[in-house]
Amino acid sequence: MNKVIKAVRGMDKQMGVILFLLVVITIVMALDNPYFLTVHNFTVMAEGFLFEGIMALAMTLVIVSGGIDISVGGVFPLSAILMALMVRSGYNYYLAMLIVLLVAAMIGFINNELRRILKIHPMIVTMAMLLTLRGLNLAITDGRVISRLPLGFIEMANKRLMGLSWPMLAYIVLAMVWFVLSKKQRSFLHVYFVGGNPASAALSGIRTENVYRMVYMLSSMLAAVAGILATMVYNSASSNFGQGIEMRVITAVAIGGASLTRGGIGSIEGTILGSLFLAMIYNAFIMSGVSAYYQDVFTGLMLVIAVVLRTQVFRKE
Amino acid sequence: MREAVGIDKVSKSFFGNKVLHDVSLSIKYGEIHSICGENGAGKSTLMKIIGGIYNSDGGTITVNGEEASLRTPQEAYLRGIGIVHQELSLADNMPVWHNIFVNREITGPLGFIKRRDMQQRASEILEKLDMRVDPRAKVSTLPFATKQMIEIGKLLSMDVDVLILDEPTSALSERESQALFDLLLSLKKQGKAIIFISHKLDEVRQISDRVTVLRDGRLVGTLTREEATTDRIVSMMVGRDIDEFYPPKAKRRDGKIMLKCSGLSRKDKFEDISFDVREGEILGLYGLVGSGRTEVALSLVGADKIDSGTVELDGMSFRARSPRQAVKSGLCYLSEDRKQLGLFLEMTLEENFVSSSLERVTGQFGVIQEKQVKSISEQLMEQLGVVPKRSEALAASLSGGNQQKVLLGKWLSANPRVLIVDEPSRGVDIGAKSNIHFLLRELADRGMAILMISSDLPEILGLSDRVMVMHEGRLKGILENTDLTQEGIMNVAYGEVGTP
Amino acid sequence: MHRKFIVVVLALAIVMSVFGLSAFAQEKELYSMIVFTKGAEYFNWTYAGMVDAAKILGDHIETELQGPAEWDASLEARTIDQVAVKQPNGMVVASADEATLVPAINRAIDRGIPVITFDNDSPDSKRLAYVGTDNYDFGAVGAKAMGELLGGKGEVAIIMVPGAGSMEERAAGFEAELARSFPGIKVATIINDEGDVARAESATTAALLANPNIKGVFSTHGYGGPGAAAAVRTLGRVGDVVVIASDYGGPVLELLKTGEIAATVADNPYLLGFQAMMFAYQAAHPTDHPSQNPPFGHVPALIYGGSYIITGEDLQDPEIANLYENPPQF
Repeated sequence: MNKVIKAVRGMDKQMGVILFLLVVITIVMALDNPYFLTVHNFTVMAEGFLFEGIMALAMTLVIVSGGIDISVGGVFPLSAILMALMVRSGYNYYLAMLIVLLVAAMIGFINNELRRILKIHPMIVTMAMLLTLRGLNLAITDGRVISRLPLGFIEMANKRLMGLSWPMLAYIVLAMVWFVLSKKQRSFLHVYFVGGNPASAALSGIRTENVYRMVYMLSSMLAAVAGILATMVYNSASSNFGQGIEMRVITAVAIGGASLTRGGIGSIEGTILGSLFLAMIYNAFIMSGVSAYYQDVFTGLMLVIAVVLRTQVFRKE
Repeated sequence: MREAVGIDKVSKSFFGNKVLHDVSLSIKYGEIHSICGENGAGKSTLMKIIGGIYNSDGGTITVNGEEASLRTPQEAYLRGIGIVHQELSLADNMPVWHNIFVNREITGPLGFIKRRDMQQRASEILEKLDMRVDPRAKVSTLPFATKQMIEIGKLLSMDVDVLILDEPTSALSERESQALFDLLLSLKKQGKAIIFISHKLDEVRQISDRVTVLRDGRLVGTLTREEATTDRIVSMMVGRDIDEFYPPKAKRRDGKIMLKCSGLSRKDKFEDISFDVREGEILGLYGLVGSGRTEVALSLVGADKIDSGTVELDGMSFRARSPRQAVKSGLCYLSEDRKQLGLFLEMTLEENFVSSSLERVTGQFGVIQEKQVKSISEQLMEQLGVVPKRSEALAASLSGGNQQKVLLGKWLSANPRVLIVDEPSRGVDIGAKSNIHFLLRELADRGMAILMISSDLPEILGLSDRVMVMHEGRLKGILENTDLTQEGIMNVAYGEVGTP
Repeated sequence: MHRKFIVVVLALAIVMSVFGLSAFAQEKELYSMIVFTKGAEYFNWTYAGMVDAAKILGDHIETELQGPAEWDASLEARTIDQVAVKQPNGMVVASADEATLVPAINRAIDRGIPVITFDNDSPDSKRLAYVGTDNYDFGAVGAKAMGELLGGKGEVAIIMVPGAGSMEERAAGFEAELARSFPGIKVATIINDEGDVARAESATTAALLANPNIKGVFSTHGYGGPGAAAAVRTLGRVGDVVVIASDYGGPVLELLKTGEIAATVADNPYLLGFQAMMFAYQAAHPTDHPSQNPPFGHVPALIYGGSYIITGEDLQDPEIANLYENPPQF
């Protein structure tokens, strides 16, 4: 117990606030709806935010590096579509996954090259990429949903390991890997230097361009992982997948304590908590039957409160 | 003594502008070698060439007698050369140990870092420098001077033998500077070569074994410790003899009291501060970083709160709710950090000039009257001697001294009655500094009341009519500036009892 | 400390007031309508029908409207999964696309929740019934109106988003009916407006400039009509180019009154919601007679709500105008 208290004390203040709110929402919801505090609901709740959760891991690095990647909202459906198309035309599933990941890596690479060569803000570059990809997705699919995937694929997709679905498993593994890497791996730690003070990072001999390239490529690739998983979950793919997903991903990262205005600040554990928080808010709205119109208002208010607590109230402590 | 770095006929041009002309210089192990020169003389460029940040256009550099190619900071490090930059190269958001070992992390397989090892070694390095800092502390939580020491520690951990310090003391207090000098002297004894750049000639004279002076990108000469008197250095720097550094004192001291503060307090910042400034007078406020001097100024102009106490401006009770209101009432504050607070670097000079007095140039319907903007800025540039004389130049393109002048001009265009200037000549070369000093005196003679905050003692002594001393948030005394000495002021600052 | 306290209390108050007020009552029956683009007027009509049907069935019937504000099938699928946790007595679902919701609908059915689709079907799922609009017929109704207004000759354009199932069918029905009854009318081009008013305007303007022979524009969805009307107005060709819209969202009604839209084809969302609710109730209350979907009650697999034409003339009747002009809001 002492250890728990110590861990909570040592935590980032914003994370403490979010954790507190999570507990409050859980208590209120549990009193409100008998189905809320069930394993089934928590599974569904988590699965409702896994794609965003996975993408948020990589987005954290992008934001810590001082950039942003809006294009994931286009990479996600594109990857789902490519995966579905390849599987439907008889590719080996794993080969198809590999190709999708390579395509995504290429997109991340292009994002970074455009940013580097044109010297424009990554927000603009990746927004252009988002629009391009959304158009491309429509063009590839002709606006139709791609379904009727081979039974073998659907069977594989529906398999569970230790009672966990693929997306759940993927998230747990990726979150752990990302957490460890962000604390221990040299290149991942250099992202914090580059974000914190790009000029000094360069003076210290860090190849900052390599760092940027890495974060944008990883961001695209995790969006592709989410897209592949979407194809597996829905047994189909459509260009309308992932509407506004980039904003939900960025919100999760921001709620988790990363700073969108200055680089170098943010953590994987914060982002995981932020994802959990958003997952619970979405679930709570559905469970309580409160009109979802208020969902964005509510999320926005919570974000403001969390940021105010971090930057204003706890600043001096 | 063995030669560490030999510089032979090094030249460098930027956009066709030659900033270094065939400079030759020899740096030896076991010496502290100062480089002096006005801003734009080429000091920093030369250092950056040695440090591998810029590449020279011509000439050769030898390190330990061998010709060396120094195209990146890495190559320089490998040759044992390291720079402590003017703008620190530490990442504020990261812990001390990692800043020391950044990009040279001790890693295991897959690039996994060995945190414990590095923390251990970092604390060894810090101990060697006699610093009591937890290597796990975030850099942002440390004072500036500590950061500078950490930067030096970082270089030493790389087995650097040639240490370049570019203006290391510009943001340090007297005491912190002394600690730094002690460190440099002990490093010198260990046989390191130290290249030291500073505008503060008394520092240069205090620690240097040799002093090299550059002017307009050319080597003027190298002086030994004995030869290097202030006058000699200065005349080499400016190319003429300067008899008079400072303008004469106030013509009349019986002006109206323009600003009067009684018992000002702000929790945790300053306490019970009372003083007044008269028309035509320059009141020097001496204090180190953290003495509360800047905080007093910020509170006066409404950028921060005042907890208790009263302020009178021109005989009327006054409490600024915002800097904007203060400007309107004729109280202007010229900030210490021209990059962060005062200048709009990405805007043109004329835009900067009128930015604090937009009402004056705004016609009907809120339209800015270009003609008036032009005439105001041209008049100011003439008066201040801003170079280049193009009002549409970007502020960012100017040298530090000229930026400072523009900042002054920005507030002058608002026609203040009371002007608070904070470190008016920090990071500015001697010529420009003198220019600013004479300008301030001229403003005072025209009837402005000036409160000048500075931690530069010669400046305080040279310019002020009276000197007010603050230390750790308290007013230690207000002294008439007749026969005042640096030691006298220091005694008041650190003494137990102030003379009211 | 003081500020921190205030902010924490504020956070608590917001959480409590948002989630704390809705009492969950067990003895009641809950039916959930799940749509995409929640907030769209169309689905508010369908939900109005559901609410009225619930009223007829009794006070113990509760209804709710859920679903993403975006047109995103993957988000809708998640909503279905989350709603299913509550074990509602029935679900009526408008599918954002026919394939993506299949696993989610099947999971709900497997948990014993009857699922009825409406408006947009998901035929490959285990849903019990579909209450829909025959989009082919919808297009044909539009073609008849177009043929009569153009006097049986000329060139026309169709506004649609290629690939969107219902629009494709409406377009096909439109074309087929023209070919059958008005062979003098030729479909000159397809305008893709991505379902957006502004795009509809710009794309229609471009199409009309490219081919001045186009005398009629038929939009297969609700936003295309106002967009096309704006394009015609900009080009100064009001009265020369006939615009036939779909549905009766606010701007369509206004433009019908001014005559800038000649007619609109309407399906019957109110009826769809009403019938879907009725079927869900039927399915949740099996009778002794053996059902073809055990353990659920009897429901027909398919029923259509029908389509009809509304013109500016119809809106002269204040009662009718009032009905359309004051859509239900939730």
